[in-house]
Amino acid sequence: MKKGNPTPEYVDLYRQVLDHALLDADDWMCGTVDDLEVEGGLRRDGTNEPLRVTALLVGAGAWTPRLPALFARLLPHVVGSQCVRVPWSEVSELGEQIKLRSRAAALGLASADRRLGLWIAKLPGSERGEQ
Amino acid sequence: MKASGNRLAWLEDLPVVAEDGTRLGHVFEIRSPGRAETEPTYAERSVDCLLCGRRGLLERLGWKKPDALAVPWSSVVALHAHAVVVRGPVDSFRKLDAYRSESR
Repeated sequence: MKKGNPTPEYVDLYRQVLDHALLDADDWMCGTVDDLEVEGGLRRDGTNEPLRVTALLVGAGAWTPRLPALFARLLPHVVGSQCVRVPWSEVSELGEQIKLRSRAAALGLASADRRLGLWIAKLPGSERGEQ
Repeated sequence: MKASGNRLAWLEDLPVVAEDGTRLGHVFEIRSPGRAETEPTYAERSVDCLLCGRRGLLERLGWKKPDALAVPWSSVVALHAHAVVVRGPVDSFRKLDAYRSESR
């Protein structure tokens, strides 16, 4: 029988986490990982502490700083600078998508989608809208 | 963390130079020890090394493995807006093939 590749004993954070889709506990898409929050690292006195990734950052406030300087300066005026912090302890599965333990609403994710969904539901012709 | 606050994505593609000025390439990956989560999960993940090297077109397209160096995070001595400075000569860093996580 052919053996598959063993699961690597590491995670490549750019390739396996950054820009990956997030699924909440109900398997609803609730955004993408736009940046990672870290603690530790180099301090002002020159000491280097171990670097730890503590949270996923989602939202325009996380992806606009990654753009070229001109866009990074201008776009926040258009798309805002909202940024939702999802603690790493919420991550239950890393794969093609990143699965979270909680529901999107509890984490403050996909709030614009929910508002839009409620607004669309009121439109005539929608399932709950006026006929 | 200095230079750009407490975020990680800004390190991507940043040039890596040794203290003597030798260029090691650009950061193209950040590696964290431990398997990908499936349960039990982690409260946080540590970063143990940066993978850096020169990446040409073939490497970027995935047709060729990058000739990467594994630079332990403990070797980083300064983070500037346009470069990561590391301690030690180029020869002191292992090639990716020989790399084993520091924590093991």
